[in-house]
Amino acid sequence: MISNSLLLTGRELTVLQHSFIIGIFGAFFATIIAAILTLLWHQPSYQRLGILRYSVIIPLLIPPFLHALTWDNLLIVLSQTGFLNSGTYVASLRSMTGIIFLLSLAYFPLPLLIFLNTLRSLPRSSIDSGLLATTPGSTLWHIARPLLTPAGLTGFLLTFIFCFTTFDIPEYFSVPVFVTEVFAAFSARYDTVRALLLSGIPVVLTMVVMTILIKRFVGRRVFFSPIISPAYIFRIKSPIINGVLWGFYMLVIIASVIVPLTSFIIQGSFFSASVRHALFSSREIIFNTVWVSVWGGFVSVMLSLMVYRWIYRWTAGRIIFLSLFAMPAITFGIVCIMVFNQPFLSFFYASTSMLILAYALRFVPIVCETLYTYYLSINPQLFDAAKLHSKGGLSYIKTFWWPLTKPALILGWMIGFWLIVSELPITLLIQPAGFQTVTSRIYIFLHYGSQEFTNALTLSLVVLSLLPILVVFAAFAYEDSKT
Amino acid sequence: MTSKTGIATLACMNKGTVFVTLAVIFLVASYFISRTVRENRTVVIYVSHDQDYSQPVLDAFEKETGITVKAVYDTEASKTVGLTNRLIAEKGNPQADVFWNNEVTRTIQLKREGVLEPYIPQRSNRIDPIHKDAEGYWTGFAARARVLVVNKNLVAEPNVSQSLESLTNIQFKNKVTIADPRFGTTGPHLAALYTIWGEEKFTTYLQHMKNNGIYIAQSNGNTRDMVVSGEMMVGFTDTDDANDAISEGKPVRMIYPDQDEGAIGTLIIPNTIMLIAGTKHKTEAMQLIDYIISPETESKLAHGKSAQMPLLSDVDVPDNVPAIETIRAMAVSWEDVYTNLPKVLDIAESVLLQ
Repeated sequence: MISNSLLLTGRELTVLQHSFIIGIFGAFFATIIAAILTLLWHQPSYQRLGILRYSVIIPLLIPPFLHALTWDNLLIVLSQTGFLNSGTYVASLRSMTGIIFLLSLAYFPLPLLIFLNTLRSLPRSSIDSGLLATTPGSTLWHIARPLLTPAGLTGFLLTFIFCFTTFDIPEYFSVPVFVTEVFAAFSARYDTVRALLLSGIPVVLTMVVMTILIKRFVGRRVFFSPIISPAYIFRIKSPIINGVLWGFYMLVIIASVIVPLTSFIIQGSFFSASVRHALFSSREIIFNTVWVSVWGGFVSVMLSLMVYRWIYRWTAGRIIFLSLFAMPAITFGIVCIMVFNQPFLSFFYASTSMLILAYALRFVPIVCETLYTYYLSINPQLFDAAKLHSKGGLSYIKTFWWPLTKPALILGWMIGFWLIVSELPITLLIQPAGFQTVTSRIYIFLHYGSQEFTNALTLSLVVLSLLPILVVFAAFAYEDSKT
Repeated sequence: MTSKTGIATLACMNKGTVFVTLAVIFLVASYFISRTVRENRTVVIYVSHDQDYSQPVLDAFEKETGITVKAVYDTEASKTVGLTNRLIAEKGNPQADVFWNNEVTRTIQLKREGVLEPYIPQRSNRIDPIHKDAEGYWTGFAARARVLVVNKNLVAEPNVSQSLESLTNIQFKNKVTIADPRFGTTGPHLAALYTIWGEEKFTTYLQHMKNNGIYIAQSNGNTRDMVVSGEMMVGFTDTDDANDAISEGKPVRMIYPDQDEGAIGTLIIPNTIMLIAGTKHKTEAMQLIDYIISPETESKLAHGKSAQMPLLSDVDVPDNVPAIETIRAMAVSWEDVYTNLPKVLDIAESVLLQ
């Protein structure tokens, strides 16, 4: 069943428009949320929260679909109990506006992590000089903002790609989006040629958006100091502004963390014997998910170093390679099967290693982008000077390259880790027989309407996913205390 | 070559050597791990049927025969793209031995793509020809039916619709939901209606439903949930989704539509089991297929929450599972349904999905 026409139909153009709007606005609001929370992060009052500072990462660990389910159920309950006067709020959530709201909540930690990582090497001397000469607001706008623009651009682009290619939240609310047309081409019409053609459209659009944004917002390269600055890079003394920031933080945390987690806990029925049995019988799946994600993130970082060196550090390479991430995951999975499912590779293809490699390849653009943003702020002559003065080889890596690159690599691994933990389409296509992940198990439970099992598993996933990330942040905190 | 270049080259070579070494270790480890697995008696099955219903069957087979069953399960969230497209993509070097599908049209697609190999199970002669492939490429078992799920609190029993056409009445305006016909069993259901009614009546019916505010949901499970919550009065779904809700005491009832004398009946959708062409474990695969096409397996699936109807005779079933012969089934052949499906999707997209 091959389509006679390679042109987009009216419906496909309409849903492409939907996806584009969702992508642009979802990314915009997520980046704004991240920028505001970045301001708060380095205030003494926020630092006193200790480990609770990292609560802002939790939304990333919850599959976006579950954000939608939680909020939908909450608004329905509030409408039915009369707390909300009508179903207007429910209708608003089940619209493009609601989808943008939910995706912003689900993905703001991504640009936030990138901002924070860049902020660690922001030259404090430039900020201090600015504060001596002008007002804090002017310093923020004229000095800090341009220095953070490349990081903001990275966060925006990555979030744009996620929002643009999302399908689970829009599908739940019956808002048609473009990726569903790719599914339909594969599954309803078995038109692989058309499916591949449609899969290329998000890639091309992302390339265009990226080129425009880079030309418009990224000017000359600015090099930072390689010395990691201590915390409190930018203190805000005004109590009113601090109050506003804290109020904003509370709203975001309530909407993106407290509401879903409370829902999971309440509906998780942890004391129920059947739920405890389901969790216990899923322990192998939970373990499999964690170790595959750990290794997948590691392999992704290793591959990213090679890709960065050979392709990504040039602007054209960056644009093309990052845009490839906009290819729908289902298409990527099918391509992986076509490439790797060869008779002479059977032993590899049938093993978990293939799944790890597929994950790693899929998320290499993301890790490369974090490397790129980080390296952008470092004078390349420092590397040349280090190579001249070191003995080379392991000495160069140990004394210069690793300490300098470590923050970016660890961030890349973390982002790869949580992306893999919540990944579904590639998992279904590539997972070896007998292997299953928690995310696919959650979606299976969801189909039965087994909310309590779903919530229990999701909560378990969030807890487990936090542990390695908290270890990493504890390591950073220890290093901060030494400098 | 200057010393600067030499140092840089050495640094690069060391890094490159490390990467290559790691990659080789990775590949060798994978080979030995997978080789250990292959040496045991094993069968690989891809399963589109719900895991919680199918896994106990496979576990029982494993226990009885000692053959290790390695399963890959699908989820409705993948819009059924996952396993059927995986099988087609893997055609050149198949990984699966058996495919357990939960419907028929995608099975026929696999047959057309050359993914399947004929195998006639031992008890195939006890199954109605309409529920199996004439050439032996697939065999049906444990069927569902397309039904209407109705909210008991919103629709009083005397007024309950028993005809699909009556859902265009004003009393159901904005209160009927159906899943996206491009995925799942909704498409084949509409294709069966098209086959029986013809294009004109089918298109008119869809238009009337659209004018009456039919809501397109994500899946059959989603339509069921909307009816359970009271957002909708009536939903198109399958018997297993409806039984899920009924067994949990939700305020819904299930109706087999168009069961009156002379009416068109409803679509019966069997699970289908098939042998993959080029299977690496043919003997074990045939053993598994024979085990699944058995009264014991059909009894297990009938006693489960999905309450699936056996196609074999003399199968022990609970009271809530009707005998297949007591349901008026649509008189359509699956080959016709499959042939008409693309046209039906075009009409559905232009009428319902705009």
